[in-house]
Amino acid sequence: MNALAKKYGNKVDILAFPCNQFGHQTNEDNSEFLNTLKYVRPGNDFALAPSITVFEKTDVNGADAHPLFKWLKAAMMIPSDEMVDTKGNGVADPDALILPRGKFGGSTVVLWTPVARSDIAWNFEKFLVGPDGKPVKRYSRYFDTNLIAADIDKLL
Amino acid sequence: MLRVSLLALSSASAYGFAPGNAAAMRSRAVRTAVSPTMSAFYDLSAPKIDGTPSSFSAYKGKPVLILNVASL
Repeated sequence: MNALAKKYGNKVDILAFPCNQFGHQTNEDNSEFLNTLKYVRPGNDFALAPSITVFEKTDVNGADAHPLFKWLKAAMMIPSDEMVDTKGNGVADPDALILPRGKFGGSTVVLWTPVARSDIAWNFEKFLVGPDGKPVKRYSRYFDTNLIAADIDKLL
Repeated sequence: MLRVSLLALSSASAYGFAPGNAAAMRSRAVRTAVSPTMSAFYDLSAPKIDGTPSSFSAYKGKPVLILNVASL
């Protein structure tokens, strides 16, 4: 994400929404989130590129999902990645929603309701919106963020 | 077997689900789902992590990449 931001500078805006709906992986307060990036993961005084805006912690799935994510998901119901299983999950990358998690006895844990077909599967799904405000493309968690450059170039 | 599927077909068409109507149904469904939201991006807003309000109209004219992130 930071590499992409550095490549495009102020020509592209990147909006990051911390979300705690996937395995409770953002369990800190809003006030702690940036410090976590700076000092813990990735740490080493990590600084976000200026074109990246971080928003308050947000629900992306379920009845209380932010309207932005309801809009994005209605327009692009599943990621556009190729229908291939690159991770050996047993289902194609864009189709993989909830996977068994080793730490919890292989159980699948869903932290929102209702569960919908268009739900975001895990952290780091990406959505590209054009300079005209129209939805362009959705990418799964497995899609290399740097490769989105090919689609961004078409919009510039 | 044949009778069952014929029955299914006729009851389906009674409810407007006959194959000929499928395309029309689909386009109607897509329109309802997407059209009220199509131009909505710039009308939306969200508070930044420091609590300051921010409208997405600030992003007019530029491609925007949106992602959900986590710190762990």
